[in-house]
Amino acid sequence: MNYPLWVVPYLGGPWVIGIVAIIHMFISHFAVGGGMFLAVAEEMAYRRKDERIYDFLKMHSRFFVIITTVAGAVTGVGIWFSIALVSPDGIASLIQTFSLAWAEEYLFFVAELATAFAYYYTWDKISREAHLKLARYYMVFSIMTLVIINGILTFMLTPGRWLQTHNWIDGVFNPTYWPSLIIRLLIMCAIAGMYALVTSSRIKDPHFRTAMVRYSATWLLPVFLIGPLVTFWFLHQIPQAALHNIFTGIQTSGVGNFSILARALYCSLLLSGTIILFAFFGPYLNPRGFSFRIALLFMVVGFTATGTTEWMRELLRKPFVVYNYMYSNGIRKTDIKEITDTGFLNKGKWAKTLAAATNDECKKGEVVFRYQCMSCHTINGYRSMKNLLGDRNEESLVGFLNMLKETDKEKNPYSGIMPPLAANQDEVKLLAKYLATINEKERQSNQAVGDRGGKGTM
Amino acid sequence: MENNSAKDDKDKETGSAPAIDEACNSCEGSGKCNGGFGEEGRFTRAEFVRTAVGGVAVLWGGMTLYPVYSYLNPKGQSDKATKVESVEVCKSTEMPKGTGRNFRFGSTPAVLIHTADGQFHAFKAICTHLGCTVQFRDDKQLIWCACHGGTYDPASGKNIAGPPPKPLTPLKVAVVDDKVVVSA
Amino acid sequence: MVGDTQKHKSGGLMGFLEERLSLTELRHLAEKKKVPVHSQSVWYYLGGIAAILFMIMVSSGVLLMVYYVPEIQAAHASILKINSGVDFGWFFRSMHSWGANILIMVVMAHLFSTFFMKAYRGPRELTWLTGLVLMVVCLAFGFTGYLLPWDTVSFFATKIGIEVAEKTPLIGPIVAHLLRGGDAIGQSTISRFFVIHVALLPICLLALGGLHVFFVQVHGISEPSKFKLQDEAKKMYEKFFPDFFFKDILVWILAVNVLFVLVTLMPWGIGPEADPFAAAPAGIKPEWYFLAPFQFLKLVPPMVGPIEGELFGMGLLGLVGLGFVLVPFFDTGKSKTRSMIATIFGVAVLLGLIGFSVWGALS
Repeated sequence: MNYPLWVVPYLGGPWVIGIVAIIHMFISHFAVGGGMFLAVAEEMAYRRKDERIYDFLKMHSRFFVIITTVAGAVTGVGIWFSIALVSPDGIASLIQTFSLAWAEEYLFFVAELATAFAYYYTWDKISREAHLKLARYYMVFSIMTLVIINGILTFMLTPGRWLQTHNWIDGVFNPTYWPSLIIRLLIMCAIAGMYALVTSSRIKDPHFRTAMVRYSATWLLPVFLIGPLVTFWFLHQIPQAALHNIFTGIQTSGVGNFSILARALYCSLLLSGTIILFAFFGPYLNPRGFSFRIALLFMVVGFTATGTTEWMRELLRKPFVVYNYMYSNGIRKTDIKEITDTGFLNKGKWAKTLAAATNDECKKGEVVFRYQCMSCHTINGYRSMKNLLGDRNEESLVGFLNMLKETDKEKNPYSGIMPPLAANQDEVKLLAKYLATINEKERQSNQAVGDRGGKGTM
Repeated sequence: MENNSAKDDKDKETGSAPAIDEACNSCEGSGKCNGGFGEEGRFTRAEFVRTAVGGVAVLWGGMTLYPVYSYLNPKGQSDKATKVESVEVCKSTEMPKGTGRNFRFGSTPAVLIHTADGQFHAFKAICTHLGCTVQFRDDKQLIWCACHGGTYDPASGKNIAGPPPKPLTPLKVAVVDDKVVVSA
Repeated sequence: MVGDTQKHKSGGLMGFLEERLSLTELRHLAEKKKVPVHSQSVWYYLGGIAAILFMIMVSSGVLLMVYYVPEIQAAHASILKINSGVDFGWFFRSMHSWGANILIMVVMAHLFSTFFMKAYRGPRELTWLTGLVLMVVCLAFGFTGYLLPWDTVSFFATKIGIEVAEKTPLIGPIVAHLLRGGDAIGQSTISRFFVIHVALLPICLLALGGLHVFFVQVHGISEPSKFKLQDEAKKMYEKFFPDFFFKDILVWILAVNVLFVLVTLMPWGIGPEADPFAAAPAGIKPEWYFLAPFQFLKLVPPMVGPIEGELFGMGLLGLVGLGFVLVPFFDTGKSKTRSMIATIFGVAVLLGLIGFSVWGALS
């Protein structure tokens, strides 16, 4: 409510963040994992004095450096842009809380980029020992970037003791910090292995290619062996309400393990299992037949698996952007009562101004909608209001919205996956008036042909 | 093919490991390549990894079979829902004295008898001999089992003749508003 | 021996089986099988994908049978129960519904790819013919299975489908009567469709599919003529086992993955229960795989000369089908003109199918 809003039709602002972030996640994991791979593989080349491994690593690192520095940086900054536009209150609080951490992160980014460039461009120009040192520095710097950002990311789901102490160190080293760090390192090794498979598949010499394909495949072993254990540890550390949420769902769109969160969880589990099978039947059992095309397909599968897992992880945090502190729409949990009693449209620099600028009740209602609902819903696209409103009229909408103000699960089945509505009685009527204009056509026309093959509402 | 032994000696001198695909060079194109990782000294680690992979693979497999097991495992509540507490059998006028009828009490077969003294009696119609369904015999004015001729008293359910070792399980009967209601 | 260098703990077990089951013989046979490698090789995967999807249909179908009740009052409710009352019921049900659609798509792609690669030519005519029957069997699976959830759309789609088929001269009314188990769609129809779907058609599919795959083993994998005409030395092959087979498995994993994503993120719903006495809802349409003939028949004018329009339309469709049946005997590979005519025929049918399907979907 303190910042202007960016309206993204159909897709919705949050999915802009989602798409950019998922791409960035993949590339950044690729960068850190790749850094570990380069350091370890170069040591192997050094010890065995094998020129062929050196040549392979040179070819491998060229595309690696380009992608990580260019695409990684662009998408990383892309995340900054998108979150600032879509969730300014959220990012504002994160910036304020973790200023020092962000500064350190950028320091390590600079160091990481510098060593990456140096690593590639000093190839054959400096001694083998020095080059190996560069590889190790790159690995350390890139791991440090994970170490810091992991703290901020996990803070959003489990702020831990920070809620009491408001000390940023407590925020960084929160309950899910360590399981998340470990599983991300494991996933990074796996992605590094997948990329190494792509480059290995292009080696010309068949014997060496088979050996390198087999070697690259072993980088997928750690996540396979330890992954499930660490995942259980992670699930144990998240707020139990979030875990419960997975299987609660909403009566109208699916309960139990039919709820969207549960299905997203199964999707990510199934795709992870697929990676394992793919690695087993592909590079492990048939290294000779592991072609470039198959390696690329494998990376695509890896991308979908990490994408769904990141999405699942984000879904866990509903309805908060910082758990138990700030809701997805930027309203702090502690402010809800005050806003409900004294009104929403008289607060916040932008909400207040936009509401005051119009006398039209529908437009005022629209301001409430945009600031409280648009963080998760679009009008007729993703999680479309048009679909969800059904054919409720203004009166039934007022009743529904009043229900959304309740925090008791018995009275409000949406409590737990939606923030409580923070509006006084007048504002509820304004919002209802606006919402009634969205589904006007539906209410007027007859019931359409029975929805067959209905896609589960997301 | 290189002279591996000379190279090995040289390697041992410098302390570096042998070439990554050395074992591959000796496969002679048969394709039975194991990527050069089955050398001596690495054997035990490879064995460990293989066992670990096999074990964890079983766990992953179990995880995928869990949904099938869960799907097939029926939840208990449906039984509670069909647990019958009482059944209205018929109107009291529909059954003259000296007659009996079989009816379903939930999922259990049962028999209702209107004895000559005007009383209604009901029992679970499961013969205590081998489980057949018993019936009321108008001609004998007794409860009788067709399987092996077991006979029960229609008022008390007591086993009076034949193989049955125990009486029939009684059910409560009440006549409410002309309707005969049997309950557990 | 071949298995010795393998590190399997079950080395002893393999040896035991080898001695008793002549596995070595089988392995030699399997190792002889080779797959041509050329620019169109990627289409070779389609048959295998169809096979794995069929296996998924059988297993998900068997699981559904545990809870589905083919009785007119209980059918719809049993599906609702599967979807919400049984753990992972929604998953297996959506695997079945989505799997069915994907399988039909894959089988159609397989049909057209083998057509355009002219794999129907001798000695593979029988493979082609069994394949055509398998396509019909697949569509029959779709048609019979579609009714079983007994919701409004499936009831009316079936009703219209049978009414259209009833118009076939001579046999139409009899077949319709037998399928429906009477004059109206009701319990008899559900029972008959259920038997056809879970017993009759699977037996047909196993028998025909078995023959189909057997023929492929006997004749080897078809090579396109451009490939065949090359010098022996230039022809590239890869071994079926282990090379192509393991790649095949990777493709299966990918196909099943696509299915998993669809199932988890877009689970199959169900409409309101069928009411045979209600009027058909406006704009009722069959499933996408029947849209093309449906839309085509709508186009035909009521009378074409002396012949009733729909009859004429079905006649045309019959001729197209006949074309597919006769193509191996028409285009034997000896005539370039005939080969081109066959290709043009195939392209025309494919374009027609796509065009009418899209038209049907949009109208």
